[in-house]
Amino acid sequence: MDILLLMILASISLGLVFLIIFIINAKNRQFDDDESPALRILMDDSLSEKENKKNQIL
Amino acid sequence: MSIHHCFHCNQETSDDIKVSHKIFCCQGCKTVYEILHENDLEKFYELNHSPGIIPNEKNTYQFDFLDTKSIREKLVDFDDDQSTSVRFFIPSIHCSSCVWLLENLPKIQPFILCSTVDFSARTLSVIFKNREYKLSELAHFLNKIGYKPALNLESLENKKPSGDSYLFYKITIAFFCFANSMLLAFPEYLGSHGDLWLKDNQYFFRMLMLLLSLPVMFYSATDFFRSAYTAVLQKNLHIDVPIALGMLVLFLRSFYEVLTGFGPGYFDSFSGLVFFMLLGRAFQIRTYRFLAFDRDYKSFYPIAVTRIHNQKEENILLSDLHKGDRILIRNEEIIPADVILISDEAFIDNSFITGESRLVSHKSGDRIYAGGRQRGGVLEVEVIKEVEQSRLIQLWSHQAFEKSKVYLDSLVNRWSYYFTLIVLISAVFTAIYWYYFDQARLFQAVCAVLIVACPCALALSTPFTLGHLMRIFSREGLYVRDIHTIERMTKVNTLVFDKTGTLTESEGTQVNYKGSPLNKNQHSSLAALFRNSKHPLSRSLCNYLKNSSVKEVSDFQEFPGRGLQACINGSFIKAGSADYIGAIQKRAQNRTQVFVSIEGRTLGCFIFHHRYRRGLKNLFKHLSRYRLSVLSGDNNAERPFLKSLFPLNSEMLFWKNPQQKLDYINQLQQNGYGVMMFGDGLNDAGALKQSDVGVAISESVNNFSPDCDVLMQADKFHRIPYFLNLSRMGIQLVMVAFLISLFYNAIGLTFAISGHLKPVIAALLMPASSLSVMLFATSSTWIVSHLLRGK
Repeated sequence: MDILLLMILASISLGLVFLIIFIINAKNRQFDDDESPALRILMDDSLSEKENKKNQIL
Repeated sequence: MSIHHCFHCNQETSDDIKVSHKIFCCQGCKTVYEILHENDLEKFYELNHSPGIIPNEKNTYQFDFLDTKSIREKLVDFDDDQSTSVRFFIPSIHCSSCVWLLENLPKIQPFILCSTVDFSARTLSVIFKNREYKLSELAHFLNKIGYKPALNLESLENKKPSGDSYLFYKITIAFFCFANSMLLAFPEYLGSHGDLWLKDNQYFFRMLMLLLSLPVMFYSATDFFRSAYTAVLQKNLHIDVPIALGMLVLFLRSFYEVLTGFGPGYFDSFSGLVFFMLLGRAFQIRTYRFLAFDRDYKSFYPIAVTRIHNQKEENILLSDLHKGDRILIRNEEIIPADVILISDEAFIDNSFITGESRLVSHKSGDRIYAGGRQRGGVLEVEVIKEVEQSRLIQLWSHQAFEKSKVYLDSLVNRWSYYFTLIVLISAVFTAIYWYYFDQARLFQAVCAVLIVACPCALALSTPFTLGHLMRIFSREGLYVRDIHTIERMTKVNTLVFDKTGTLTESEGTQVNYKGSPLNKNQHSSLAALFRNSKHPLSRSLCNYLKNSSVKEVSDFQEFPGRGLQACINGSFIKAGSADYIGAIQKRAQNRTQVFVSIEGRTLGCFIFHHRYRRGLKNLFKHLSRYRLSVLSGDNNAERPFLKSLFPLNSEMLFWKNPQQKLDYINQLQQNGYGVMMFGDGLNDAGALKQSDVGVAISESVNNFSPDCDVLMQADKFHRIPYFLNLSRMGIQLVMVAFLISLFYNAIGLTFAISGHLKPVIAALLMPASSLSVMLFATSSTWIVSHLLRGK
């Protein structure tokens, strides 16, 4: 049963690591702009239909 | 003539500017389309329907000053011998197409290496090759495709990240500690008293919870203790006093229990309490990163001016401008200091400072006050006062504007006063009771009373209910500064309106023709005359006359500030000011008017009115429960018309200067009225600040607006009754939330006084009360806003 104590300590320290990573990233302003990534993800990389067609032929 | 929508900007147009079957409203839009078409960026139009912005041609803004070394240094973020990184605030960014286009700039302009949009802050960061490409060229290019960078004095100052981010960290840490100590507390709650292993390792669990509570106590909760401490110093029973007391007792009590091995303590309840309270704080702060409520003259003034030095033009920073300098003011530029006019004649639009709608003419040697907008050709002026000493800035830093609107008398604080008293009395009562019955349990019972009476749900009801209202308002185009403003909105019983720019639309004028009727020939001749001029008045007259028949125009001449003349189909036509035409002016000289004559015979004049917003009469009908007034800096020419709009008992005041406006508001307040002021310009700034709720109306919320409590999009003007009703309902919902939280407190108190408050009960009651208040606030505001909208 004593392994449980170790597991609890391990899980809390793991959580602590994630907490620290989260705060570091928040400090680096990763969460400042929550709108543009949402808009960006919907856009294709290919620019125009012309290029699309070119790619299809190839 | 059929009406089309511009392919680029979706504006209605009757012009026929076509490129491959696509219709455009102006050359500017067409140019943007062509640029995008050439560079295979037509996808811009696929993402959204006609997402473009009309490039600003009216204001051929000079960006040359950006290449002046001192100015450039202040603007760019990073500079080396290869590339430069710069960030521009571009208010016109509004949709995914904008983001897409701006991030594909390198495809159009190869010298741009990388461009990134921060949509919520409306900024664009660009890295470009500085050897091949100049900063001014970049700004000019952005302007050409419709994204004009906002360059004003304010953008020179680097903004630091606000204090909100600390709140964010505090919440994160509190949540981490709360969740973990709750899991650690479970085994004991779940009644495994007989478990020998658990009993042996009790100490481990309890110490871990104690450790987890330390960052909560000494980092996350510090704000509450600080504000409670200041409140006690001011002898004021602020809501934070019982909260801080509850937290402190909870923490110390748990600390004592764990150290003495008496019990498991209430660490999970403690961390949970702090977490929920911080959540409430975060909820009442709604920051609009692209808005600013407390703008000062800095966001109004240009960064640089053109100075004439040793007979050469040079661009200098505004801060380097001194008394005695000679500067050039171009069309549409703001005059940055009090000056003396050197050029022969100037036309200044003072509408922003005084509220007067007509152009004021000045002769050489006249003194012109700062803040006016120049209309016409290039002016040469001499600065007679330093920028900071100009009348405009004096007006801004007026003493009456300094005082802040802190209301200690807010609803929650009045409740908390009685609440705290009741808690203290019941604590004393409990102490007396247990003193006589069982002295051993006295300490525990008193602690329990102080813990359970902690009004956390009470403190959450206002931030959550009103915070939700703020979000609902912002979706509807009304941006409220903070939740206290909503509270003040409910106490308002007088609405005061400015006229120009508030009741009238700030852009767009209505034209009337007065005089002998024009025949068809004269009509088309005049249209042809005005078409040749780029003056704003000519442009709007051209629109008004709507005639596209081709006429032969010869000898066209334009005299800036005076008028036009030309020979059209053989007849000599003049248009312009009364002096210029030689017409005799009858009354109504308070208005902007353009006289016309053909072959020396005066025909009549075009009168420009400001167009009133639509649905005003209906709006005022819905506001009948309020006392209404009009407070205008303009002349009283439109009094009869306004009378027909407003209810009979409304007050109307004209010719008021900014100080008089402020005094009027002050006087109303002295008489016990709660005043809500609607204004737009700097001339209202004092009145807006003085009033209980100052609402600035803005065509675009990113435009300049004076210091205010509420920013309102101009097209939402007719929604005022809805906003007022909703805020009044909001306060009633807060009351209901108060009752819910008091109900939980009463349950808790009965446990506490009878000495039965076990940690598990506290651990259940606290989150339950907080969560039910949060749920109630969220659902009720949503339902009420939908019900009221339907009306």
